[in-house]
Amino acid sequence: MNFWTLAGLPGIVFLGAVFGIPLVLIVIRSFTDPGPENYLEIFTNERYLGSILRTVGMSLTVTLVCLVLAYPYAYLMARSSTFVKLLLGAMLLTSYWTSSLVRTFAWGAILNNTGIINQFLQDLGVIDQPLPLIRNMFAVFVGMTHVLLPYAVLAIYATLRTIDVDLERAALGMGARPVKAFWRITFPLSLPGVAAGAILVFVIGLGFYLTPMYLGGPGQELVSEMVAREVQDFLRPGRAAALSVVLLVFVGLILVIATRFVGLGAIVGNAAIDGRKNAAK
Amino acid sequence: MRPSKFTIAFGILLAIFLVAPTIIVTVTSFSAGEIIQFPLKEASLRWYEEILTDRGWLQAFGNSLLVGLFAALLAAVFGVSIAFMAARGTAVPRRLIVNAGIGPILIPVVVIAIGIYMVFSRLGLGGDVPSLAIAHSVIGIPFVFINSLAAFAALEENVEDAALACGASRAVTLFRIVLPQIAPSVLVGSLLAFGSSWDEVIVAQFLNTPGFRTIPVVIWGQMREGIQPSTAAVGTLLTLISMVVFIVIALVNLNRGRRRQGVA
Amino acid sequence: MSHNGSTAPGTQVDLQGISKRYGSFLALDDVSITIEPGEFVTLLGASGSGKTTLLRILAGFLQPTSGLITLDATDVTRVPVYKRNIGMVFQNYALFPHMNVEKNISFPLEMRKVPRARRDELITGALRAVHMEDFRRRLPRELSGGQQQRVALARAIVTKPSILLMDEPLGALDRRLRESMQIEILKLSRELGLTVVNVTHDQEEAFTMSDRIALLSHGRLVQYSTPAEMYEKPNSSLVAEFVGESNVFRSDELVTDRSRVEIKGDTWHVAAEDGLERLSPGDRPVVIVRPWSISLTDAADKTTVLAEGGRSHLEGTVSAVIYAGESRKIIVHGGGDDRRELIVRQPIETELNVAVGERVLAHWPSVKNLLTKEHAA
Ligand SMILES: Nc1ncnc2c1ncn2[C@@H]1O[C@H](COP(=O)(O)OP(=O)(O)O)[C@@H](O)[C@H]1O
Ligand SMILES: [Mg+2]
Repeated sequence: MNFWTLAGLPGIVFLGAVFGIPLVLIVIRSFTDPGPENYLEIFTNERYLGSILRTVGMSLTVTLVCLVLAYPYAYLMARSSTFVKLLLGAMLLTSYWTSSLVRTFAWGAILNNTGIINQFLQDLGVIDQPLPLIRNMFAVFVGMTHVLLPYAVLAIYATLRTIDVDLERAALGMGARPVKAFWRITFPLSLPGVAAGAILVFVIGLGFYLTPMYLGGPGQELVSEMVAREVQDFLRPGRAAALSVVLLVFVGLILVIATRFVGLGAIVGNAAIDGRKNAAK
Repeated sequence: MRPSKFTIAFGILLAIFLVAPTIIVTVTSFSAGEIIQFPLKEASLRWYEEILTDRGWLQAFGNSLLVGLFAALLAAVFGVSIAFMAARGTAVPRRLIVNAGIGPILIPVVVIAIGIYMVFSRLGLGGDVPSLAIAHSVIGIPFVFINSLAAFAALEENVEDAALACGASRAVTLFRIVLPQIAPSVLVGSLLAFGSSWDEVIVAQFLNTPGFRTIPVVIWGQMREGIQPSTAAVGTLLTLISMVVFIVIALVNLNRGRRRQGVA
Repeated sequence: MSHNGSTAPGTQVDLQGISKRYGSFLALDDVSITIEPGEFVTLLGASGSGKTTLLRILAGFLQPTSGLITLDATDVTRVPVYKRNIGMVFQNYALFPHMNVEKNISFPLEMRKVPRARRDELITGALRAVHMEDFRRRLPRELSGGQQQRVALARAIVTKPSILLMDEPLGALDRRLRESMQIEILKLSRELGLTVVNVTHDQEEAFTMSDRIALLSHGRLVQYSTPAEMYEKPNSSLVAEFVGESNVFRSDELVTDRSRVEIKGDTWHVAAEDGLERLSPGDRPVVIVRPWSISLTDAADKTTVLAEGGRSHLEGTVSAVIYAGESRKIIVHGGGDDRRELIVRQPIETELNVAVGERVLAHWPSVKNLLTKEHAA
């Protein structure tokens, strides 16, 4: 065993103990507490199935919307005047670094029946009764999109900024119209960033907990929330473990497929760690 | 292609959407009334006064800070250690170690939370700074790991050979040659690890006891009881600290970039 | 062959039967080299020939698959690099980027437990030796490439190592700087009486600096001798072709007897006597002539020129005249079925007496021919 492997042992042992063992325990418990029927229950009970489908559907929707919104934003950050760049960058990072807890709280204050939007509209006399903006999937969608949008922007921006503006200029020089130059040159080159952003947002979205719990309605729980409630409210840790395993397998499958196309490092925002071929620069 | 006016307008609207929640929370935290209002009718510092004189809040604040610092420290030590193995080790395939090192940030937090909760409750752990710090360091390790592995990849391997040729043992080379070179990246990773612990709710919620709470856990508890301006004030303070961490990271990165530019 | 003056002599190095295997690939195949104290030896060879591998084995970074390394008759084959008391210089300088010049040079002293009180004096001495006294507090990135390499050199010699190893130390520098550094390094190593092993793929550098050259090819030691011997008595066609420009003649039409070899083609005829003793029975003879040895005359003068005897020749047409710095390269195309071509070099000052397309006779005294054997792959 070489020196560097030895130097890595403390880290691997620690991670194994505090991350690996719990995961193994979850898997064991899902089959033994009380038994494999946990899975039967999950795949036959509409509550769990519904929650799984809802989670996947919500995460997919949020991912698509995030990409559509994030792309022009990232493009602006990469190609505008310095002032616009700085402004958009500052606002993005302000949002990114505001805790998702606080942002979720804010959306509650905005969307509540007595919240900012409803008060405003009532003061204007547009409506008599508050609009049902909260405790539903719409609120969850808005909150999740807001929390996840910066991830998508940053992933796309990371790729866009490495695409040489001269490539577009060259295309223009050869007589391409600007729109065509964008779609034929820049957009294809930026696709790895789009893919990285999509995978990141989708995977994080699958595990969302606070936002759906706070903004969502009764009977509309996402999987993470179900997991927590099985442990805390229903005292069925085995069922929670089985739900976790389902979630883990799903996330794992997505990552296995995704990493055939994009490096894990690119997904988490640091392509430099994907293989040694990039090490030279 | 220069973005069109239409695209710029769209970007600015989106930027407003992005910062609106932060601004709303900050503004309402200065409200004088009992309910959340926006825009403010009357400003005051009463909620800040209430928080900063409340022993419970201060204690939670201290807990959060300690957990964050301790978690960042653990993440630094073990994250770097795993990065060593991934970068230079030969015994285990690099891919496997990279997956392990990054894994904790791609796995749903709730799964980590119940897993650790199951293990810790068996061992009688929880309800104090060290247990939560250990749990949080798992979430922090990937940040240190990713940053130091990237720094490792940029290192010149001959420099370490030069140290060995100078008569330094491998351990001395590690501490005097390798670590100082990747220190800025380790620092950035640790700050990110601190940040991730600082506003973490889910794991903290599973490991809390009535006598031991962190700020996010208290906020979360308040939120579920109803919306109050004092929550906004605490949230603003929480965000403020996050921003400070972020600014330090930006400064370290800036300095690092400048140094790299200096290389002939 | 020791050039050291009053200073302590360097170490004697003995590499015996060194082989290195990477999986099924043999990077070094039974290489044996003995280096006398104070000798400057260059490992020369094309890229991938195994130079770095051999140097790293000598340094102790790598373990040979088989073979023995002794320094002053002590077996160090299993001694790790940091216990071998070597100085080493790398192609990309490999200075510690987070330490200033002074700390870089102090590092090996600290590692070798030199008392603090003595360090400063040694650092100053090493910096003076490489003319870098004024840069003590600079960080490596604040120095030019040449300056960084000087600091690397100072760091390598500050502990007065028994042996200095250099892996293409000048490879990253521009040509002019490289040439002045070659002389400086050589001077310094002589002054200190160091045993030096230098790696390069640049044969000019090898010839300028070395007492002896070890020519490697595909992991094998092809020839180990002084530069002059390597040039004048190459022990195979490979050596001759590697060291300096050559015209190589090989043919099935050959006459060999006890005293001479004659070979000829459609348009040429060469004979050689010198070096016959280096051929063994079964070797295929090859005759080599350097482009500088060849004269050109009008083809019409053939009988006059060859009348006196003892000359080799080729008859053909001038196909190109190329100006290359201080010399002129003329290519003569012999025609015939073997499509023989000949390279001729002339100093630029001499008058050009031929023109492209002209029929010429290229001729030279047969004593200028080098006789050697075909390199067996
Ligand atoms: N770690 C290694 N694994 C496999 N092959 C190697 C390794 N190191 C070097 N080689 C091979 O050994 C040969 C000699 O390499 P090297 O000593 O670096 O050549 P040189 O320095 O003469 O250019 C090359 O073909 C190279 O590809
Ligand atoms: Mg080499």
